[in-house]
Amino acid sequence: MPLVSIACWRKLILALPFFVTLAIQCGAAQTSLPAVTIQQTRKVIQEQTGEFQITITPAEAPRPVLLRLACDLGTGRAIFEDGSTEKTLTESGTVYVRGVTSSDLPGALTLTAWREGALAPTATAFFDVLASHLSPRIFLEGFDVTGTHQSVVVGQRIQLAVTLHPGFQAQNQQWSIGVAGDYTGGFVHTPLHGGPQPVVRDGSTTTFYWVTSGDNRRVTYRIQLADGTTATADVTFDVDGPAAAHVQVDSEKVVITPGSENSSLLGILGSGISFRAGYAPPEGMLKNFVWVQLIRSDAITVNQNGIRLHCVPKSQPVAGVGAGLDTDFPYDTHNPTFDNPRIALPSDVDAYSRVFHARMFLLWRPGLSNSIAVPLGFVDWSFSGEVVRKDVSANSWILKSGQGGANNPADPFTRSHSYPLWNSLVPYTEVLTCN
Amino acid sequence: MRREKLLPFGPPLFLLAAALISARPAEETLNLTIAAPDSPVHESNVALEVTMTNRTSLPMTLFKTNPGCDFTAEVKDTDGRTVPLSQTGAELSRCQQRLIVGRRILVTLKPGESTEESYPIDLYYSLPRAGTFTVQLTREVPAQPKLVARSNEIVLNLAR
Repeated sequence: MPLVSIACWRKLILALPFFVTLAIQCGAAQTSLPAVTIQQTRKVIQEQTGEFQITITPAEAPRPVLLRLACDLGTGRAIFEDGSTEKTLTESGTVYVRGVTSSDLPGALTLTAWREGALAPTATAFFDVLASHLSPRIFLEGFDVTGTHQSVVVGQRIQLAVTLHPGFQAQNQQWSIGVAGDYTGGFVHTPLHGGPQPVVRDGSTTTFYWVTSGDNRRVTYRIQLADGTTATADVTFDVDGPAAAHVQVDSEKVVITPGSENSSLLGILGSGISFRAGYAPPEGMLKNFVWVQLIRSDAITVNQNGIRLHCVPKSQPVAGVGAGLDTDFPYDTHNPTFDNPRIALPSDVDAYSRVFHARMFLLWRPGLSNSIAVPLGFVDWSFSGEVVRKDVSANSWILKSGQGGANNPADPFTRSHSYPLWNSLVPYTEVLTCN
Repeated sequence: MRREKLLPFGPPLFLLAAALISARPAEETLNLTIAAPDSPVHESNVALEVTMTNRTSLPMTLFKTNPGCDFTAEVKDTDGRTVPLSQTGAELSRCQQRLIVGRRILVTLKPGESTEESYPIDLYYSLPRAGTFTVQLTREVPAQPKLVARSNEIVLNLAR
């Protein structure tokens, strides 16, 4: 019959400090029975010897006990002076335990005392083997990557963690990742808000995503203990990503076209402006196209019955110049993609003009779990048109001026790793905001 | 003076809703599938991923415009009460007589082919946290406006 109940063990584990762990008999009914007490009197350090005081009672008629060293979880390992993990003790005394491998989990090593024939230990002490010096290890997705080169792709989640033994009182932990702009803490994209997220660099873990490709990106973890001791660990990344990204932009001329039911439309001929992207994906990965369009401004002037109204498409929340995310995220996932900022010309309006500026972003998704899309660049483009009504009954119009296309037709695509940033949505529904 | 102008004063939204209700289901033509979240949703902005599949034997073309225009959602609480569109959602769903044509992406689906779209349900409905709701989406079948495609019904479990 075990002398110490499980409930009692739990109380002991919770109540006692880490490096001096006692195991004693519990319960009044057991006090008169032979018992063993284990008390750690010197901590066990890797490649050094710690001490445990073993008290066997009653002292006048002691029975031999078997002492066992074990590690239930983690990396810690310890041995007795003679190199074994079992030792018989016939009377109270001090035993010496040598640390072999430092623990990565607190309290995972045990020193147990067993009476002959017992099915459970008479006493148990939980202890750790402490590292002889502070030597942090960096883990990536559960693998120790300290001091290694890791090949990853842009957009892949990089979740790094250092597990420190609680015996080390960290005062400051910091991650150094590299040049700002090469990485991000994430990419939030809701209809109303979108943009990159900051990286949390304090603490024992950090999560980020490379945005740009490049080799020999060193990430360094630094720790300073309360006693002033410092240590570092690093891991180096070779980051692959799409190369030679480009977008070809084609636009037809601005025209007035027939709409439905005796109406007319001002817009670009045909499908409008087209954006055809190309790039070389990282080896073994697929091409995909994530288009995101931000409206930079969209001003519409309406002349109606002698009154001039200055309007913008209603956005949520209201933006002064009709700026925000165009319709949805993403705008499209096909290649090429198109836009045609057409405006209906109802017969009760005398004249219309529209000046529209937008930025079409191209992003690439690596397609890995927990990955994010990364920007490859953008195209700035514009559309403008001015029409006056020619005939009310026929609802015919005259195009006074109009042009549309990339702002820089010779070199429309700007390579950039800056994320689109928005705080409003332009849904292009029926509502115009006018004043 | 700031004012909102509805141009060119299209038919009320209820006419559209009535038209959709009276329209015939179209399971055999365009199949809509919403992926249901496996676990309670903690995010403040929920977007449903909708897969549209051409179930006919011919190519099908459809336009992706505004999700609030392309889809109609039926959202019910645990008591079976219909959750109305929020004020913002109602504004964002006024689509019938748009003065300005926004995104209008033409997608051609071969027989059996699919395309995906997201429906940011939190943008259209003020869904309280925590709460459990059933959601079903409908969409007009391209070139057959009398037909509507109806999605599977999902249970959305929103956590604080």
